[in-house]
Amino acid sequence: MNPTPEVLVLDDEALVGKRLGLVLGRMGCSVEAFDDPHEALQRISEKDFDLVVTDVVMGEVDGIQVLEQVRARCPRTKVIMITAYAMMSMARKAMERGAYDFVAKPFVPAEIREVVGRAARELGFDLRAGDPEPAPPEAGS
Amino acid sequence: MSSILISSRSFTPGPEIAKAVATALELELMGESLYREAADRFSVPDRQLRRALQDRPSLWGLSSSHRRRLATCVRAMLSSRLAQGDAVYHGPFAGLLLRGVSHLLKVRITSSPAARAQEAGRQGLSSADAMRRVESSDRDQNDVARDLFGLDDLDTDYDLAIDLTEVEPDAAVAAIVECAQSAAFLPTTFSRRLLQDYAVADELGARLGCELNVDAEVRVHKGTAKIRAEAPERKRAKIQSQAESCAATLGGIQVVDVEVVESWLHPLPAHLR
Repeated sequence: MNPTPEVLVLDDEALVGKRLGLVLGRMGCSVEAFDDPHEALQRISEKDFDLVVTDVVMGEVDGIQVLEQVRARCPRTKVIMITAYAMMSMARKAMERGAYDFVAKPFVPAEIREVVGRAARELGFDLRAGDPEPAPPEAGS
Repeated sequence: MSSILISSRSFTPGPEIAKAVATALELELMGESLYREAADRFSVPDRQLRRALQDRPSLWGLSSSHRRRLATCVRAMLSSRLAQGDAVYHGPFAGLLLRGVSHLLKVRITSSPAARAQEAGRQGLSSADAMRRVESSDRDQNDVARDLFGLDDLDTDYDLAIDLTEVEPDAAVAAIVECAQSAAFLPTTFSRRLLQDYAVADELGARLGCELNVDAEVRVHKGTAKIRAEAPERKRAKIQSQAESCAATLGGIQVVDVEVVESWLHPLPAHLR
């Protein structure tokens, strides 16, 4: 096992992916961020990631498809769904199909750090808590 | 695992099913005890809390305003208990309480009117009286639902509606337990946060109602409490300061945003509105 978790971040808003990449990088994750779902799916077909953090609503490819592809290729990978359109039915669908967690946007960095940290610990990684931001901006709007 | 909220039609073994589910899942059962705890917490008579959720609206009964205030106390107790950990609730309106929380499994237990009337008949009623009792209890529940929530209490508000005309009680328990253990009802960061927001909003709403005699609609999201209070404008500053002091003791609220709405009913005492 690598000493640091390999994380793929997918959000069609590049800024959200960038901010998430920064937060997770500070925790000690090795992050690949994508804003194009097709490119992300291509990468997922080439490599087994420890964690995938994906937006749910992204146009022609949605996060549920990403989740299904990840679970089919590598059931060990933990998939965290994030969305600005959080609804009960969507959360239940994601969990039923094997998501690790479902997080509503906007979220503060501490929230995503807690979820990613918990998932990484379950996989046997020991992550840093991450440097707290002086005035944590809300990530993902 | 999920928490399970069960409502049952009158003259069905809903309480027994709820107890069996709680035993099978090794969870605490919240039923009648919830009223007593809410009564202690908000210093209101527990009999009134029961009446708020059970007695049909009438000119001589609880006013809509008073009923909603009491129901907020019960909901505050329920949401705060569920936010602390999984449990089984048996009581009215499970389908209409705490909507949108994905890890709460909502179950309705029902049976055919004829089967329920037969059960009612065991209490010494004639078959015609038993059927009338069944019909009137359904009507009363719907009237209370409309008064409290502005909605009918429909089977479609539940994740699982079990008709005991078709299913034995043991099979009903097994179906509920299986459903509660399915991945779809696992808690998520989103559902926990929503439940926590409900708990804080209901606690704030109940305190404003009981301590300040103010009818308030409270929504909490991401540390902001939005309060829409029906009160005379002169009470605005008092409501704001009371809400802020309540919020400070509750924790989790950074901003309190109060909107005061005047009503022509304000000259009347609260219990008559």
